[in-house]
Amino acid sequence: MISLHKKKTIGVSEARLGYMLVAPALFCILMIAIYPILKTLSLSLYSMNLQSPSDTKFIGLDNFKTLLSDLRFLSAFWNTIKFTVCSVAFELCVGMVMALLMNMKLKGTGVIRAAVLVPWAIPTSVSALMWMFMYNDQYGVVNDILTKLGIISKNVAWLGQASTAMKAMIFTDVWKTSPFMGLLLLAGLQGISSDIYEASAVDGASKIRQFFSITLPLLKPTMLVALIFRTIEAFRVFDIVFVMTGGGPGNSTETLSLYAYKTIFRNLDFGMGSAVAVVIFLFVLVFAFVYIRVLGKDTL
Amino acid sequence: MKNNPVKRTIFYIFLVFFLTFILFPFFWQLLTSVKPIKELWSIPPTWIPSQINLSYYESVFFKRSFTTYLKNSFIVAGCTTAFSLFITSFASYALARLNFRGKKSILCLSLSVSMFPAIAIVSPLFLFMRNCHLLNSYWGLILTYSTFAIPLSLWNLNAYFKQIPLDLEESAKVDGATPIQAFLKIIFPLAAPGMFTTAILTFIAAWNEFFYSLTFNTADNMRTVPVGIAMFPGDYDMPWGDISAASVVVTIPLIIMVLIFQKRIISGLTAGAVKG
Amino acid sequence: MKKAKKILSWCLAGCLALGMMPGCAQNQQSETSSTTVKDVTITFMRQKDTTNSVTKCVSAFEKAYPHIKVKLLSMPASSDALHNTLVTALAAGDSSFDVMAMDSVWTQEFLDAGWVESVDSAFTQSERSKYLSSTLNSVTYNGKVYAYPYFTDCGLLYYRKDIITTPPKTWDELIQMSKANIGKNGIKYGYVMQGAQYEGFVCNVMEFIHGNGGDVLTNGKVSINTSNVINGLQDMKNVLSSGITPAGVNTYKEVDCAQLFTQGETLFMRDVPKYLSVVNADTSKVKGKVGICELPRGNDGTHGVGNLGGYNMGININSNNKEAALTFVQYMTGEAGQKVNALQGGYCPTRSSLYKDEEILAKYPDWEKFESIFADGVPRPLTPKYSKMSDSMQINFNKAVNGLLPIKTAVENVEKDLKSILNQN
Repeated sequence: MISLHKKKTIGVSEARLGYMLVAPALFCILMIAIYPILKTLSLSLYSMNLQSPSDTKFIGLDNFKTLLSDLRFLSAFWNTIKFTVCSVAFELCVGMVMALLMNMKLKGTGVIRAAVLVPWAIPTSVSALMWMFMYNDQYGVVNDILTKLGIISKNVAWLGQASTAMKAMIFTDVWKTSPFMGLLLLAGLQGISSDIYEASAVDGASKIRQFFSITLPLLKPTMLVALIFRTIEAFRVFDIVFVMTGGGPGNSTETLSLYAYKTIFRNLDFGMGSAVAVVIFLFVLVFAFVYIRVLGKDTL
Repeated sequence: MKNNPVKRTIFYIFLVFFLTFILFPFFWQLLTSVKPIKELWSIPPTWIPSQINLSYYESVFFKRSFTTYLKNSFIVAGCTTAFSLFITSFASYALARLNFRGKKSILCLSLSVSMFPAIAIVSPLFLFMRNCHLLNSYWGLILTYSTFAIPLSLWNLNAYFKQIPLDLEESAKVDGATPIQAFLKIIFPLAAPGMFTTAILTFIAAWNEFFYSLTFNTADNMRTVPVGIAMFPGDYDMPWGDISAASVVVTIPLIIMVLIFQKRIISGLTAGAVKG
Repeated sequence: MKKAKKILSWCLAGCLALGMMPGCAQNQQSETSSTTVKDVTITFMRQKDTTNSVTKCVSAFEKAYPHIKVKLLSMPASSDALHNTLVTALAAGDSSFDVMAMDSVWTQEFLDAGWVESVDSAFTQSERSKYLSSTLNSVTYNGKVYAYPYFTDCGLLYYRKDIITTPPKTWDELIQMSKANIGKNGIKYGYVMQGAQYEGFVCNVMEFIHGNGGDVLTNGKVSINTSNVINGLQDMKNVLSSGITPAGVNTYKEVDCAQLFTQGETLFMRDVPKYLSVVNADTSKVKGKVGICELPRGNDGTHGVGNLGGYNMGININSNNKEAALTFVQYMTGEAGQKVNALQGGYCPTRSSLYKDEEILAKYPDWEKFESIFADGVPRPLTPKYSKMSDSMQINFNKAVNGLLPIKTAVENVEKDLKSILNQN
C-alpha cells in the first residue's frame, strides 16, 4: 500500500500492476475460504466423530477406501452423475434457445428477458416446495393438466416412484436454472460484432451455418464459464433433493451432497462426511478440467 | 429478417412456448396466493378462484416480519454484488488483458474455492465467524457469500473482457492512454452488458442462499428471505397461501429491476463502438 | 500515469477498508449476555411456535422471576433445521444460547457428545415420579438425568366416526373396512400414513413392527431378524399395496396426510395428536366427524403400539447463566408451564397429572384416551447411534415396502448394518 504513494516509483511494470489488481479479490476469498477448505481436506484423513471426539485419529486414506466399497455411496455417486449430466445438458440447450430468442431484434424479446428471471428470483428452497406441491398426486396441477390434455388417465405420484422422481427433479432444475445459462449466453452473443454476420451473409451462408460456424465458436468462452458454474452447482445439488424427496423413494434420488449432509449432520461423522465432500470437489475439478481442455484452449 | 413472416411466426410460437414454460409455476403461485382458504387444497385444483382473497398478503406484510427479511436480503445481496463486482472488475481486467505469470492458476484457484459443498465447510466457517464476532451481522454473510460471488464474477467478466476487440485498446494506447485509462474509458463502457449480467447473476445467487444464512444469522431481525420463508410452516400447518404470497412479493421487485435495466443488459454498444 | 496510480491506490485502499470494516462495526452479538449484578438474560433456542403458547409461558415466567429476562431464538419448524443449527453451534462451543429444545430422537446423541449440562441433582426423585416414564428414559444417559421432558408425541389412528362405529383392531381389519367403504359416503381412500423417506417413515415402520410383537433391539441386542418383524413389515406392505392408499402416499409427511384427511375423502389416517386441531378446524370438511384410538396391531401382536416422540429441554454446557437457565427450564416443564403449553399450543404434556386436568379435558375431550394409548407406546431405540440406525432402516425398509427389495433381504441388510453400528459382530 505505502509504496504506491511514493511518487518516485516510475512505470509500474505490467506484471506488478496485474498482481496488484488481482490481489484484493484473491486475498478476500483466501481469507474466508482457505481455513474451512484446508480443515475439510485434513478432516477427510481422520476418523472423527463428534460423539466420541477422544477417538479422533489420523487414518490416511482409509475413509476413501471405505467409500469405495460402500454401496450407498456408489449409488449416490451414480445418482449425482445422472442428475448433473442430464440437467446441465438440457439447461445448455434450453438456455441457448432462450439466448437466441432474446437476442433477436423483434418485439417481445423484452418480455422474455424479464420473465427468465422469475424462476431464478424465487429462492430455491421455496421453488422446490412449490414444484413438490405441483407434482402432488392429489392437488397437483401437473396431474390436472396432463389429465385434461388426455396424456395420462390416472394421477401419477411423480415423486413417489423411483422411475419418475429423478426426472421430476431434473425438470425442476432445468426450469430453475436455464435462465442462468440464457442470460450468460445472451451477454456472450451481445459481444459478437454484427459485422461478422454481415460479412458471412454476403458470402451466402445460411442462418444455420452461421450458427455453427460463427456463433458457437465465438460463444466458447461464455459457454465454458456457464458450463463450469452450472456443473459445480448441479454436482453439489442439495436443496431440491432435500426438500422434494429427501433421497426417496427407496433412496433412489440420494445425491452425494445429501449423503455428505446426512453423514455430517445426522451421524456427526465429520471425517467420513468430509471425505465425501472431497470426492465431490475432485469430481467437479475433473469436470472443469475437461471443459477447459475441450472449450478453453485459447480462451483462458 | 424483419420482413420474413414465416420466421416471425416461428419466433412467436417459440416465445409463447417459453413464456408458458417459464411463467406457469409463477402464475400458479400467483393464483394460489389469492385463492380463498377452502380452495387451496381442493381436489382437483381450482383454476379460477371464486373470489379474490388478499388475506395472505396482509398476513405476510403485517403479521410476519417479512419486510425485515426483505430489507436484510436486499442489503446482503446488494452489498455482496457491489463488493465482489468492484474488486473483480479490476482483477478480471488484469487477467484478461495484462501479461503476467500465474493467471491460469489464479483463475483455477478462485474457482476451486467454490467447489466444496457448503455443508462441508459450514462448521469451520462458523467457528471463524464466531471468533471474528461476525455472527448475526450483515458483514458475516457478505464475506461468506463473496466466496462464491467472486469466482462467479471473476470468470464471467474475464470472458466478457476477452471478447472486446483488442484493437480498440491498442488504438487508445497509441493515443497515450495508460492501461487504467484504457480500462475506465474504453473497456468498461463496452463491458457494460456483461457487467450488468454478472451483477444480476451474482445478486440472485446471493439472494437465494439458504444454508449459511440459516446457520450464521439466527436472530429473527437478521434473517434473509429464503430462511424467512422457511420459517413460515408451523408445527401444524403448511401455510401455502402465505408462502405463495411471499414468493410473489419477492419476485416482483426483481422483475421491475430488470425492466428498468433492460437497455443496459442488452445494448448494441459493441457493434456501434467498433464501427465508430 | 500518475493519475492512474492515484486511482489505483484509492481503489486498493477502498478494498482494504471494506475488508476491515467488519471488525469494528456491525457487531450485534455482544448485547446478548450482559451480566450486571442481578438481572440476567437467557436465550432459549427452539423450533418456531405458531400458537403463541411459548411467548405466553415466557411472559408468565418473567413475571414470576422479574430478574430473569428470556430471549426467544426461533428456528424453522423442522426438527432437522433445529438439529443442524444446534450441532454447528455446540460443536464450536458456542455460548450465545443457554437453553435448547431437543427432539427426543437426538437427545441421546447430544448427551453422548457432552453438550448438555447435567440436571441430575436438581431433578428430585419426587419430581421425576410425576413424569411419564417413557419421557424420562429419553433424557437419562448412563444413569444420570440431563434434561427435562418438555412435551410428548405418539402415533394415533384417526378415523371417521360418522362412518365407522368400531375402529379396526388389526391391520387386516383396517384393509377390509377400507375396501368395504371406498366408493361410499364420498370415501376415495382407506388409509394415509407417512410414507416419504424421512424420520417420520421410521416411526410408521416401528409401529408395524412393535404392533406385531417384534422389536429392533431386545435388551440392547439386535433382534430384528425375527418372524414378528418380517410379518410386521409384510403388514405394512399389504396396507400399501392393497389399493386403499393414494398413489403418492410414499411422498407424504404428517402435514400432507392431515391436509388430505380434511378433504373428507379418507377413512383412516395415522398421525400425531397435534393434528386433532387441524382436522377439527373450521376449514376442515370433517370437523366433528373424527375419532381417535390406538393404532391397529399385527396378527402376532397383542395390542397396537404407537411410536413415542417429543421434545426435551436441556441446558447448553457452555452457558454462562446455568442457574437462571435451570430455573427457566423447571418452570417451563413444570405443572403451570406445561398446562399453558397444552391449552394454548395443543402440545401433549409429559406430566401424567395433566391428563386428568379438568380444564384440559374440557378443551380436548379426546385426550382422556391418551394415558392408556401412551402407556402402550414405545419409543425408537434410545442410543446415541440412533441416527445411523435410522438411516439404514429408512433406506432398506423404504425400498422393501415400495417393492424394490424383498422384505427378507431388507431385514438382513438392516441386521448387518445395526450390528456393525453397535459393534455386535
